[in-house]
Amino acid sequence: MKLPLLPTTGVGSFPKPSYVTGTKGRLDDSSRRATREFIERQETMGIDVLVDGEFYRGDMATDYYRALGFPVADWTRSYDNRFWRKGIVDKPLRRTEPIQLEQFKYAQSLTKKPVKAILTGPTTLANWGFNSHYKTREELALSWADIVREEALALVKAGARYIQVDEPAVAERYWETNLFRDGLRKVTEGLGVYTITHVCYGEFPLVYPNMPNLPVDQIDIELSSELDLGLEGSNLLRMMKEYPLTKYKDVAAGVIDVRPGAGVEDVETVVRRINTILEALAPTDEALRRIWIDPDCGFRTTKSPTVAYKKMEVMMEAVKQVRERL
Amino acid sequence: MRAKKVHYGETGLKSTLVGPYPRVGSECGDKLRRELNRLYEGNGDPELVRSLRKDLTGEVVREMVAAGISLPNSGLIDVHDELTWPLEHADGVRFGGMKKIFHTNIHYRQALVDSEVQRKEPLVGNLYKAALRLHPRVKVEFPGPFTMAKHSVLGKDSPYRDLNDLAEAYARLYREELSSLKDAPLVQFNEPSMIAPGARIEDMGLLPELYSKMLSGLDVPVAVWTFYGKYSPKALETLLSMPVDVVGLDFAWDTELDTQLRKGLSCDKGIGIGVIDSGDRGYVQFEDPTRVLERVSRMSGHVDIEESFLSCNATLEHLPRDYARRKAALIGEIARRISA
Repeated sequence: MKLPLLPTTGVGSFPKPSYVTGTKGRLDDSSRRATREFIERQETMGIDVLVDGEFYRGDMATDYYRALGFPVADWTRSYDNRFWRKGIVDKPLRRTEPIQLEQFKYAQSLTKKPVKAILTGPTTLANWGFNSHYKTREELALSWADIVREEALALVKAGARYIQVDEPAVAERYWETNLFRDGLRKVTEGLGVYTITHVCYGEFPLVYPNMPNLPVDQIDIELSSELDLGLEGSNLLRMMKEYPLTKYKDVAAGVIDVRPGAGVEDVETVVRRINTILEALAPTDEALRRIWIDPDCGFRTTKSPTVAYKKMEVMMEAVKQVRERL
Repeated sequence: MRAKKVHYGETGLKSTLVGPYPRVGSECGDKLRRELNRLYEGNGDPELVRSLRKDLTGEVVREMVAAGISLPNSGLIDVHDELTWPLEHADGVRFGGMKKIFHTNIHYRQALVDSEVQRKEPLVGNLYKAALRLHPRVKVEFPGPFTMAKHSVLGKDSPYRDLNDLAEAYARLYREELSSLKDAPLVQFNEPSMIAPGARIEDMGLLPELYSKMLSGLDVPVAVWTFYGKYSPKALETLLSMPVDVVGLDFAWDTELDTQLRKGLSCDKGIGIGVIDSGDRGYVQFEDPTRVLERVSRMSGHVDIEESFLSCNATLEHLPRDYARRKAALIGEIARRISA
């Protein structure tokens, strides 16, 4: 598929309409309806590579623990009023059935455009639960990598052309970057499709030097708050300008703030953010062709579907204006 | 050197908790979570949120006291995160990007400092007062000025030279607050940035002076609490020389710390013995009280137990509420057994 300059995509989730409740990882009639409506809306907006909105999901980590039959503890807080439930690994990890295969097949059946298959990464799964079985973190994370690998193979077999491995936990233990890389390699090696890892809300200057070595085609980074600091104010952007990651990888730049209460950006703000990332990461035409544009993260935390749709429209208008100038 | 004895109305090893307490996992907490969601969606009732927060503060303080915690905090059930929340009450600061707190999946908002930082209102609010109505001794807890500065960004118009200069501005902000907290049994400053991975030993030298300036002439018992890391001999020595009454140490991360203390470092203050694992590293086991008791008893020749506190290493927010309750009860029970 030929993509335009600055291809656009989503990161994964979208606020659930009120008619979707209690899915906990399973595709039901209500989440099918929401997926269908969301796919149609993305096509209308002209998004290039679509996402399914994850309306079936309870939580990106907890669902995996549930799918593998592990107990799940009560809520813990992530920030402000956002919570998730930690699963407890109390026996060896073993995948007995597909986790997201049916969900991907359904979303892809609704459109001729590619839909990204989105998996939670091994480092994030290891960090966002409790472990009372494996002796070391290496064993735990690499065992999770085996599970995610099995799922990735099934998705490729089902026709996925884009596999995204979400690793928001990457900067949590920056001293374990090699473990992160090894886990990711176990998942992506030899898949034969375009691979992505999505990272967000971390101290990225600590891991940026290792990003060229990651075994994926694209690194998708939450950037809007850094872009608001500008090249002068952001350590990360200064590093990016000095050592452009686009020399080695495609980069998807998050330019829309998805946090609750962030408000809908005006188009000028998003154009400015895109221009800033181009200044940092696109010193050449070749580098420019490696840049994608998307929101910072999944829109689930935005809470309101109306606000999230408005934000996507602003992003698309900003991309249109920048494309016209280039 | 401050090193004055602090009296909490009881003898023997005392017990305390660190940081925000889990806020959901009870009818009141779950109701607050749902009402806040409604508020963010534009449909909630701010008055109901205020009322539920007050009720929940009462509930968690009662829960800590029932667990045998002799010096509870207020539960901090209204803070966005544990690192930069006091800056909501200051001018000169706005909030920017969201980042993870050290190695955890709890996030903080990066503080962006554009102009002079000034306290615009009290940092400690009505929920602390509500907690005091339930228990005569409730400690006040803040992120330390050094850690808060390390999690801030200076804007291009900022009047501060660097983050150490900003830490001094934050210390001045706290100094103003401390003068209104004369009756607090203990004011605790959490300074994980002193020892957490990435800490720089050259920064440690600045800390005694930073705290001296912040506390000079004030008659409030103060603790500095550290966690999420291990202690080099130099770091430990510096911490133990801080001009405060209690130093909180993370015995869950640093299992060699007991040996360092036994080497005879001079210590004229209480120790916060953070030996109960808060679950921040992903372990969920509950400690064997007898083994913890033995471990703490072995410290008694080197640590002034009468002036010290048994605690978790860090916030129990890494755990769900029911687990946190069990951990709190463990702390209360072991402290009681040691004192007996």
